[in-house]
Amino acid sequence: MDLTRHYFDLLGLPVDYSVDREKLSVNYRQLQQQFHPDRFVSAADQERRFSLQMASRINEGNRVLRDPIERAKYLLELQGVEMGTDGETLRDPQFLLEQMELRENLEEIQQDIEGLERFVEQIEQQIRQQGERFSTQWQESPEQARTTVQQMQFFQRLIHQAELLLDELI
Amino acid sequence: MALLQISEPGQSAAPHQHHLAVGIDLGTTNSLVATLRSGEAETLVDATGESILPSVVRYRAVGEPPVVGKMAEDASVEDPLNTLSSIKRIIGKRVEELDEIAGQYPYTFAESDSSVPRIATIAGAVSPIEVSAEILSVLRQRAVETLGGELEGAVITVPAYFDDAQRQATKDAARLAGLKVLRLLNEPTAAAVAYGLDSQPEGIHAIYDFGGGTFDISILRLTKGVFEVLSTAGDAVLGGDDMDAGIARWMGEQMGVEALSAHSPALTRYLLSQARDAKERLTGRNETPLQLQFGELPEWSGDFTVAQMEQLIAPVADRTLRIVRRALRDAGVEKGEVSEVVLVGGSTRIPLVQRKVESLFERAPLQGIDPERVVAIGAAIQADILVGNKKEGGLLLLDVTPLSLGLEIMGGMSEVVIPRNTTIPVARAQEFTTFKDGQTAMSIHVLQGEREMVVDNRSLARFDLRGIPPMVAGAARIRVTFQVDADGLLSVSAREETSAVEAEIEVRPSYGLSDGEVEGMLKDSYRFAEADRDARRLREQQVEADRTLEALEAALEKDGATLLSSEERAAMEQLMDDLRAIAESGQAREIEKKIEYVNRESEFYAARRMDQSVQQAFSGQRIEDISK
Repeated sequence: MDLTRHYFDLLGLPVDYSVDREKLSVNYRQLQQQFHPDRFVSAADQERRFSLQMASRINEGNRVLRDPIERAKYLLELQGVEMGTDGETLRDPQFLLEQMELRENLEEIQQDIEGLERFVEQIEQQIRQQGERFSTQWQESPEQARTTVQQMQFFQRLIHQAELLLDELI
Repeated sequence: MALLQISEPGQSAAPHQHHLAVGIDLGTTNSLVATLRSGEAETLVDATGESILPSVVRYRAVGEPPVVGKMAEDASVEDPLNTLSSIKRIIGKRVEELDEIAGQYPYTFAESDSSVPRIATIAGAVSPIEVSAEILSVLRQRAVETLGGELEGAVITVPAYFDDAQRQATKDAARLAGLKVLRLLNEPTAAAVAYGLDSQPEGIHAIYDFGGGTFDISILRLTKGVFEVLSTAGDAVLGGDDMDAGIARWMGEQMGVEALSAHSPALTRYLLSQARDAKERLTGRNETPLQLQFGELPEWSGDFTVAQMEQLIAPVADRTLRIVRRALRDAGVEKGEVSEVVLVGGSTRIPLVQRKVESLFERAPLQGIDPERVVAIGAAIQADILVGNKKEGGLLLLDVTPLSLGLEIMGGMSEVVIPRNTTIPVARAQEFTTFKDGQTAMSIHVLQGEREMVVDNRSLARFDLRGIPPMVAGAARIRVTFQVDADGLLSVSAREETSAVEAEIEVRPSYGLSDGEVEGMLKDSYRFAEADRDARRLREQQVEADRTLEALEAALEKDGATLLSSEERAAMEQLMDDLRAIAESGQAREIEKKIEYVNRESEFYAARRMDQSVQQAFSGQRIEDISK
């Protein structure tokens, strides 16, 4: 079972950090219309298995290409660059200091729904900016691009923490 | 053979035949069966013309079939221990998990080694799966008699928030009732289908489903015939029953009873019944007289006002709103972006509930279709599509898994492998390693839930991966793959990559109902007409052989000439001839092996077809690979 076509190719998009979300959605829906298990309910066992694998892969491709951090990681992966540990990022004192401040900030607002929602927006904005930097780096300087992604992941963790807190409050 | 019928979506074996299929709403309080006839969806009625079947089963004596429905419901006060209702609240749960709801119901749970709860009745100890099977059986019978033929399958609805164990248990109940499950469909999604929202302009819709026992909210986006669920949230133990319980407690207090559980089950049943009646009477009325009398207790009569009732039930309603807000957040949708709000389930008839929902969304909700029937109707529409009655395939539903799925890792922590609201089907893998030198086995504990600690999540299954070659700690690479199918059911497999040692498990819930137990129930059941298991196996293999042959034939006809060389084509023809011969005269096991052989030998052809199909999917838009 050949599932080696990479996600950009599978979803009909050029290999690039910037993604036409509308086109991604259209292509995604078209693919699922064809391959989804609902189309193979009465089919032979092996067809159903293939359909399941294919639909799962299409879903995964859609998820990865749609998410700025996953997409960045995937682009690096396609280039043979492993994400590895957070090494370089953990050695950047400026960045770590900023992260600590943000964490303290988060602790102060942990009971404040509106504060938390604003915090999430703020961090999402940071991630977007990091994304723009990534798009200029990934082809020419993959090592730097990797550091950028690691930083994006730190920010993502902050959002995750904030969302856990929001879950408790709402 | 392994060929996807990629350009003939929805078509099944006999394209010109109409296939009988139904949709079943297996509800906490009421159940219904519906089907599509002459293009119209209709619920099927019993001999008295009633389509609603109360989900109540009364056991009378050992060996006697139980009474199901209205007659059982009528006996619930006089025979509370043998008349089982709201079984949907218990299905899929382990004995240890029942404490919080058990107090509400007057059942006696039988002693048992297994963690499957069994309720003690006069006819013996019964599990929730068997009880649900009795209900499904009645509906199946009704459908077969009304439609005049065997059913090819049924779409059975489940609350969107049902976890893996509850879904699996529902599927087991259907099997026991002799039904082939085409799909387990989430109730809110079914409602969206019923409202024909697909015929409306594209938009984002919210389905608020408040039934007798469960609450679900789903946020869906509809675009050009594809329904995508953006998020789903809910509470599988929050429903009308809880409102009744609140009212019943108050009524008990009026009669001088502090704790209902300290009294007889019959009193609980009586008060719950009075509570529900009063609640229903107050829909459209401001007050209703109550006359409560039971046994030796002081009688109480007085007026019960809407205001009083609303005060008692408001906390339950408010909890649903909190869950709605969370679903909106998960979906990344503001309440103003919602085009339509659909109300589903009996509890949405209550004016207070309607007011609160309208106030939250700042728009009047859609209620055109009877909120009690809408789910069965949606299921019937989907069943019709899945069984192949629609030429163009029709609407496509992309649903999500409602609860995060994960594994136990060191320190009693739960690590998420598939987060909630991930579109299904989905497959994801995680790598782990050994923590001791020479470790040869690894315990895998599968969990469902959002919490960080294992103890706070739902344990789905445990299994061991054995035979890991002894290595230095941290050297082994154990890849655990989670696959969630379109029914929302999880399969887990684990493989040690360096040695290729494998283990696979279809997640059988920790509550422990194994394949063997279900088979056992099938054999013992008086409904199980076929004594000869071998005959059934043979037929199953013959059907599978037919499907395999049809798929290969259709494929060859379509692109055998373009994708295969003449030798390859001849090889396929030979495979088919061999399979045909064995299917006619062989034993089940022989046919099975032949099918496996044919599949393996034709897999290369399937891969080519698959690739071509992907290639053609957006004809002309594909970009050459930049990197491989």
